[in-house]
Amino acid sequence: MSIPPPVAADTIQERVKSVLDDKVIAANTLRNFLTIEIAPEDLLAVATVLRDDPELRFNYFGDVTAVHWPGEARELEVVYHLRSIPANRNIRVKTRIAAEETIESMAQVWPGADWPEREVYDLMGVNFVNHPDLRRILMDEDYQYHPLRKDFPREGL
Amino acid sequence: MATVEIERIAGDDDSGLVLNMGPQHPSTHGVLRVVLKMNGEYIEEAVPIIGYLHRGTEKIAESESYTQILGYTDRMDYTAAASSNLGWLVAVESLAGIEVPERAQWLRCIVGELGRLAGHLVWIGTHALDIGAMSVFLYAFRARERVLELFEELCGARMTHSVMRPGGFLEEPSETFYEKLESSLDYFLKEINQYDKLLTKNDLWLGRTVDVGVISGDDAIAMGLSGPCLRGSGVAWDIRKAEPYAAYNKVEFDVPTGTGEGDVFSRYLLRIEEMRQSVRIMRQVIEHMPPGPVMTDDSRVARPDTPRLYTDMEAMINHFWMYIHGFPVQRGETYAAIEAPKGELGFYVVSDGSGKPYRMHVRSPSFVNLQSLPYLVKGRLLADVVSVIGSIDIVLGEIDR
Repeated sequence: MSIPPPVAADTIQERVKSVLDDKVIAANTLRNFLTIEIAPEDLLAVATVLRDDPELRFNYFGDVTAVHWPGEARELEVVYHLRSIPANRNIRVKTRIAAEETIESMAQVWPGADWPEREVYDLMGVNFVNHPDLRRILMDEDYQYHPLRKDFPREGL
Repeated sequence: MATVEIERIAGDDDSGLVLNMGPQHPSTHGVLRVVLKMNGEYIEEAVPIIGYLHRGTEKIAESESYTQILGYTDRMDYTAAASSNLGWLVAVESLAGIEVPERAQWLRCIVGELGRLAGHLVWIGTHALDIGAMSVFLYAFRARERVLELFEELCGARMTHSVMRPGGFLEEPSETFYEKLESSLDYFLKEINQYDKLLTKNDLWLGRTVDVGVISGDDAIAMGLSGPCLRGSGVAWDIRKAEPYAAYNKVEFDVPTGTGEGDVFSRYLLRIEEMRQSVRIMRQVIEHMPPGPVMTDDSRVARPDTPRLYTDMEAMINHFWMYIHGFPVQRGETYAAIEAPKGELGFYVVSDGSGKPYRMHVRSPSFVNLQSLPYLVKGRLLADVVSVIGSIDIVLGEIDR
């Protein structure tokens, strides 16, 4: 198997637009990297399409993380990086939730999301539902805080 | 930390034995703890427990300048600090739009491959030691000493060297470095062949590694494995080929997949071959490296030269600003990945326009690879846990960050 050259972001965007047109809130390309923004309730449906669409085939869960924007109505921005290994494509999927809202676990679509989501839960306090085993992973299990939130002091407690 | 875990997997009945392995056990390569539910000598359930080395690198990074963070990325994968630094710099440079001069790009291949060599030498030494091949450990650490000497010649530091900077290198390495490097390449090849001879056809080695910890290519992709753990299952995926950074698109090298069976032996075989490929890459770099500066002249990151510093007011201010506040990076976000010795090392950086990142996230390969451990050892013998942990090649500094 040889690795094909990376697919241009525009090509991916076209396909994403044709299969997920009603679900994509915003899409932009920066440095040949496509970012789409979706509503949190569409996440599971979008992920399944991204994985199963014969042209997209995002079969590899790269990474999940969250960014905290305090003061905004939906303060937690959850960011997914997906890859397609056979076709060498990348996509970034973003969605915004309020701190107390829950979000579907991607471990239902890609088993590899298990530990990365536990990390996001532990450090950022994003509550994933339908996760196989959502517990703290890096911090102690009786720890009270989510240290990567911006309101957690950088000097520690 | 693990008491809850032990109670949970022990359950209510008295059947079976719960065995705690680590975090001080030498074969867990640092402070990994694995709680195992045993049925005789077979493993029913394995639960890895991590976090003992958590230092909050991502949080600390939010209060450091982009250059200062190099000191923390060094200490993530400390066996191959060069790779962690390179990953961070690729991300920062893409976010800030800094052009790196051609010679520095080639030089980064040397540093990256030396890092890979150092990382893999630690891996083969400790992996073989865990399985009982003591002599390989001594040979491998002797060869690794040679790599560390090269780093010492390059910049003065041996393990956590932060030799690269945003925009290139601080200065051109000495002539002696290139001479020593060139004369070491044959030595490395000889050493690698020696491990190959000691282990590849060794009956004991085969008994402990063949058909142990098997994962298929599709499962490896689904689980998000990367690096040798993915390639060992026959998926020839390498970020150096897929999204070339530094000068990897200008050198020739193969992406070995071992036997493609996805067992411990396959991962062993391909790492041995990877070390040979590293030597091959470095040989090409020495031969084809173009002359020129190793640092960009972009005034945001390039330190003004000393004579100008003392005669030119603007240079002085620039220098002061650079070291006190760091260089400002335009608002935006980036995800950049490199092929570290352990797999895909990615950095997701969000900038709010200041000299410090708003958010820095590390996708560390060991962390994601380690989540396959329960799958790989389920139903296997206790002794296999040791060889599987060795073959995933974990570094706890990178897992816990």
